[in-house]
Amino acid sequence: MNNLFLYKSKEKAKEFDITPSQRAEEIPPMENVSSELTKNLEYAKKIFSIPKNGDVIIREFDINFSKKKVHAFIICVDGLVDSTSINDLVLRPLMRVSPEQGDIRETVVRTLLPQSQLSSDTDIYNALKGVNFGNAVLFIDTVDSAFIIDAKGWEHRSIANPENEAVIQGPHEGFNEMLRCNTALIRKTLNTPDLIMENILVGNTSKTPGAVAYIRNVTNESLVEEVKRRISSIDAEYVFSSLDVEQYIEEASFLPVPQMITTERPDRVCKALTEGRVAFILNGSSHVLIMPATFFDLITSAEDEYLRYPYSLLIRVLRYLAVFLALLFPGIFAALLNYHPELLLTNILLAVSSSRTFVPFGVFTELILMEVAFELIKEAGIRVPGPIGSTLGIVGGLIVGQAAVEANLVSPIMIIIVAVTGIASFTVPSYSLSFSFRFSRFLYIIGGALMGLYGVLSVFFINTLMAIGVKSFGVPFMSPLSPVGNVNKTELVFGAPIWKRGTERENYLHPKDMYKKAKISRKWRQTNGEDRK
Amino acid sequence: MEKTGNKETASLFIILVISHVIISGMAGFVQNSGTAAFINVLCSALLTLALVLFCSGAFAGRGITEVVCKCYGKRAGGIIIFLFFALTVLNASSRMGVFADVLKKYVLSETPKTLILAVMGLCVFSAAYFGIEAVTRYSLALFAGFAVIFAVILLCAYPETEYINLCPVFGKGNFLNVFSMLYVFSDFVYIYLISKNIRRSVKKVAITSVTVSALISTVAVLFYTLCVPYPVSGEFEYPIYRLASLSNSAVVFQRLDGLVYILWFFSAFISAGALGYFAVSLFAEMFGLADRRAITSAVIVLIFLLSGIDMAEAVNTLMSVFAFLFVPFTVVIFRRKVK
Repeated sequence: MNNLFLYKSKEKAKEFDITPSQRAEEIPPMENVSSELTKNLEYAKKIFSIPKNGDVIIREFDINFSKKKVHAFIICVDGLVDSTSINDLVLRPLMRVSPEQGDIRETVVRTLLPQSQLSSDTDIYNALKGVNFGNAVLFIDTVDSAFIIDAKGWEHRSIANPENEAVIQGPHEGFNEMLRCNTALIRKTLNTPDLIMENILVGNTSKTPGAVAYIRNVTNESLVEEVKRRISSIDAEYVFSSLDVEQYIEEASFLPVPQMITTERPDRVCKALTEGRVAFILNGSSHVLIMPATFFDLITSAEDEYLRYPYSLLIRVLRYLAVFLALLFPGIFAALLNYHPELLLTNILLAVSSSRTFVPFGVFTELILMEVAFELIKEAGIRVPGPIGSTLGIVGGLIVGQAAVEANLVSPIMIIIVAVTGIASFTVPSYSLSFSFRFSRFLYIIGGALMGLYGVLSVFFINTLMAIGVKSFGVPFMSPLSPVGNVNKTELVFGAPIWKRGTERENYLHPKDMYKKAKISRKWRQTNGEDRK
Repeated sequence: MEKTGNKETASLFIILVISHVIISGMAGFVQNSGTAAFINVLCSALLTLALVLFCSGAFAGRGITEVVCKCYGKRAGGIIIFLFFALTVLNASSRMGVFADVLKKYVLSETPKTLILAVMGLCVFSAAYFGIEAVTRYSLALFAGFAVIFAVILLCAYPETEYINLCPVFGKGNFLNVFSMLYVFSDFVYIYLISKNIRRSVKKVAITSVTVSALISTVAVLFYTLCVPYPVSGEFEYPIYRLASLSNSAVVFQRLDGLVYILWFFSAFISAGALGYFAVSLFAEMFGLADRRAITSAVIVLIFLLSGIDMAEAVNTLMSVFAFLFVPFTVVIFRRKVK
C-alpha cells in the first residue's frame, strides 16, 4: 500500500535557455564548375544544406547522348520555379531526345533547351546564387560549366489598385512586389528607348535585386551617380524593402520631413522621370522611391494631373486649408483660449466657454487626451481587419466620443476640433508627410498651451526653418519657392491648365534638356501660325 | 559663407529694417519728430542708400579679417574683429531683450521673461544652425505673406485716418533728428561690411532693399501719424500693435492682433537669428574654425545670457556710430591702401 503522506515533488518541466552556438563552418570555396559531376553535386548539397533544406530539389537523371548515358542533375527551389516549365521544357527534352553526335554543351544550348533566358557560367557559386531567385541550374557530367535556366514561377500579387494612392480619375494600376513587373509597368508607360533601368544589388547577403531608373537625355548625370553611390554603399546583411533603402540613403533621419517620394503608382514615377528625377525599384517592395523630393511634390496628389483645372484648383485650395487645419488648428485653439481670448468674437468665446463649463480638465489636457485617443483609434483601425476596423472607428469615434461628452469629460467643441483636424490630416496625399504633420501637431499644441500664439509661431518658425534648411539629394526641400526657381509661383501653388504650364523643366534639377513642351501646345488653336482668339 | 541669391538677400534686409522700424523704432521716430516722423524715416533711408552706394565695390571679394587687417594692421585688426563679434552678440542680445520686454508687457504678462527669452533663444539657435542660406530663403518665402498682412492692417486702420493729424507737416522742425534714428538702418550697413558674399551684389540688393524697406516704413509711420494724433502717438511703445487694435474686423476674430503677432514674431526671429548667425560666423572666423555648427550653441547661450541686460539704447548708438562713421572711414582707408 502506498504511503499516503509521502511527499512527491511535481515533475519539473524542462526549462529552455538559448545557449551560445558557433557560426556554421565555412564551406571551402570551389571556384569553378568541375567536369566531375559528383564534385559539383557534393558542393551544391553543402551550399544548400541538403537534406536539411526541404524545399531545395536536386533531380538526378541521365541524358542519352551519342548512344551513351551522360549523368546530369538539376537544382532548383520548390515554389520559386514553374514546375511545368521544368518538367516539360527542361527534363523532358533532356531525357527523351537522344542526339547522335556533336558537342554536348552546344547541343544542350542550341537543340535541347528551348528557354529564352539561358546562360552558362563556369563560376559555380555565381551559378548557384540564382537558385534562390527562381533559376534552375543544370550540371552535366564532363561539362565544366553550369547552365542557368530562367524558370521563375513563384506566386505573386497581381497588378491591383494602388491602395494608398487611389484616384477616381486616372490609371488604376499599382506596383506589386515583382521587380520586373514593376519595371515593365514603367517602361510600357514611358515607351522610350531613352529610359534606362540599371540593375543594382542591395544587401551583402540578401543581394536583393533592384533597378535605378532614369531618362538618359533628361536626368542630370551627377544626380544618377549620387543615387547609385548611396545605394551601392549600403553595408547591411539584409535589405528587403525600398522603405529600408529610403532610411539608409536619406540625408536627415531625425527631421520629420520626408526627403523622398514613395509611391505605388507607375504614372507618378513616369511623370517624375520625365521631369529629370531618378526612381529606385526594389524587388519585394511595392513602393518605388523617387528622388529628389520637394514639399510641393509631396503635397500634390496624382489626381491633380488628371482633373480639369477648375476642379483641381478647388482640390488644391481645399488641401492647403486642410494642411493648415491638420497642423495648426489644435495649437491655435489652445493658444487662443489660454492666452488670447480677447481676439475671439464675444459670441464665439461665450459659446466655447459655456460648452466647457463642467469639464474638469484644462484645454491642454483635454486636447492631448482627445488627440491621443484619436491617434489610437486611427492606428487600431489600420491594424485590425477591414470590417472590424470600420466598426472600431464608429465605436471609438461616435459612441465613446458621445459618452465622453455626456460624462462631461470633454467638451463638444473639443470633439469638433479633433475631428476636423483628423479629417484634414487624411487629405494630405503623402503618407509620410501626413505622419510628419501628426507628429508636429503635438508640438504646436504644447507650444500653444505653454506660450500662446508666441509658442505656436516659434514652433512654426523652427519647423519651417528645418524644412527650408533640409536638402534632398542636393535640392532644397522648399524649392522652387525658396530658393526661387523657374516655375511660376501661382502655377506652383494653385496649378494651371495642362497646356498653360511652363515650357521648361524645373531648373533646380539641372536637367540635361530644359525643354518640356511648346509654348503653344494646343496647335489646333492656331490658324496659319496665329493664335485664334 | 553660403550662397544666397539677390532676392533672398534683399528680403532679409527688408525684414531686418522693418522689424526695427515698425515694431519699436516707429515710436522713436514719432517721439523725435512728431508729425514729421515719416519724413524722418525717408531721410534716414536716403542717407543709408547714399552711404551704401558710396561703399559699394570697396571690399569686393575680400573677407572681413582681410579688410580690417589691411586697414589697421594685424594686431589692431584682431582687436577690431573681436569688437565686431562683441557688437554682434550685444546687438542680437538687445534685440531679444527688447522683444521679450514688449511681449511681456503687451501679450504674455504672466509668463516669466526668461521663458520668453529661452524660446526666442531656441529660434535664434535654429537660424544660426541652419545658416544664413536658410534664413534668407525663409525671408523670401515669408515676404509675400508679410506684405499681405501689412496691407490688411493698414486697410483695416484706414477708416480711422484723419488728415488733420498730419499738421504741423514738419513736426518739431528739427531735421537733425534724422541722424538720431539712423540706427534702424545700421544692420544693413553692418552686415554689408562683415558678409563677403552679400557684398558681391550690394548695389542691386542695396537699392532694392533700401527702397522697399523705406517705402514700407514710411507708409507705416505715415498711417500711424494719420490714425493716432500727436502727442498721444508718442506714448505707445509698440505702434503697429496700436494700429492693429484700432480696427474692429468682427469676423471670427474681434481684433487684428493675431496678424501683428505673425509680422512681429517672425521678423524678430529672423533678425535676431541672422545676427546670431553672423556672431557665430565671426567667432569661427576669428579662431579659424572650420565647423561653425560646433560652436553655435555656446554663442547662442552667451547671447541668451546677455539678453537679460537692458542695453538697447547703448547698443543702438554704438551701431549707428559703427555703421555710419566707422564703415565709411574704413572704406576710405582701404581704398587708399589698395591704390
